[in-house]
Amino acid sequence: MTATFILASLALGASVDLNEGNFQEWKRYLEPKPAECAFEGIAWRADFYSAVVEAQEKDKPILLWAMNGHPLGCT
Amino acid sequence: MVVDLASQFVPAADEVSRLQRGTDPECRLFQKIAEQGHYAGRTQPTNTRQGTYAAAPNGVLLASANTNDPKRMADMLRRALEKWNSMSKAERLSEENPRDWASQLQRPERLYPDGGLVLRVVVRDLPREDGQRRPADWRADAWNQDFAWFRSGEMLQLLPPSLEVGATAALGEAAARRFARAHLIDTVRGQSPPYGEKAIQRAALQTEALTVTDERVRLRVTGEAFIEEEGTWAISGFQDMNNPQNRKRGVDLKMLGYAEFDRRAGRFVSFEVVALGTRWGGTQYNARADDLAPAPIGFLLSLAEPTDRVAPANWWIYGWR
Repeated sequence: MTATFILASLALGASVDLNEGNFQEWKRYLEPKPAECAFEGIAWRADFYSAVVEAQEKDKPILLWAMNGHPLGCT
Repeated sequence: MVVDLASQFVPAADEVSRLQRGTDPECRLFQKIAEQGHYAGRTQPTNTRQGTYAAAPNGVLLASANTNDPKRMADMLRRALEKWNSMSKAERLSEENPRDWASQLQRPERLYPDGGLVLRVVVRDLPREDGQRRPADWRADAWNQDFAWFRSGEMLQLLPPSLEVGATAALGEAAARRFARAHLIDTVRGQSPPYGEKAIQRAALQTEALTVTDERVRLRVTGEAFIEEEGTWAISGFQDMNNPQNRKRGVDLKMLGYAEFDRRAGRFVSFEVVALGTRWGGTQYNARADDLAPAPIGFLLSLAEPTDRVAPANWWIYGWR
């Protein structure tokens, strides 16, 4: 459905159009798809400090994913 | 495989710039770990310490890498577990209790707007009118996200003062301009800095009450933004970082959506706004060097989960204390 809608928009050659009739289609197009959120398959704590506290108390190693830009936000 | 191996760790994701530059105990522990890792001592082409680190709570590095290759990551995790299992408890735990550091931390999440509005902002490219496909690599399907914060008083600006059908309201100018500067940015393919204040030519978010009951107010949300910035900067990562040229970048967006406010709880229970329009230009790390011409872009604003407390990427321009 979304693909059809997008192709129809392109066929019309119009600039990007947003209205009450196509709002839901655009929303679905923009939403992240499950496959795009595979990184959420790991229960990342959202800050290093929380992991340090937990690892110390549970005697477990820390796995830290540290990037320019928060990996769970904007990288 | 990586997920299984990761389950044997306490996993955390975090922003590296603050960790590698900060002076609080959390940052100092990271710096101790990073200076044993894959980018230890590196200063060129940048001094970033980004990557994935496996470490003991006392800061002993187990293994590290900067890779998105699953095989290399799995290998790194196996090596880390092997080292961990060879260490005694005394060799891997800290003599300090990290809970004692809490009052010293300088994390931006301390500014989280409890009782306010937190939106997840997703951004991605739209199909192109001329049928020109996007590149045949990761850039074709790239997307990004960020979190936008509004304090309670700003959130309530979106509610019409007289709660009756047809009544209107608008986000205050300061919050609207801040939102535009910090969040209506082309980060589809990678990080890009916030706009300067002068770049915001129009930024507005309005509401109109569609239905009103004792419990809920349903709102139509509309808005627009026109942002254009000129200056001198690089657009090709490390390649032109020492030879920046005069550039322009910007967006021209229209917004439409719906939101529902729970009057008794005093909070939004749904918020879905789409912003569509055109972007142009590029910045050092947003991978647009060969895609500078105007092209369509879309943003989706929706309620963040209460557990999503990650700070906005450009939190410092909020000016919150």
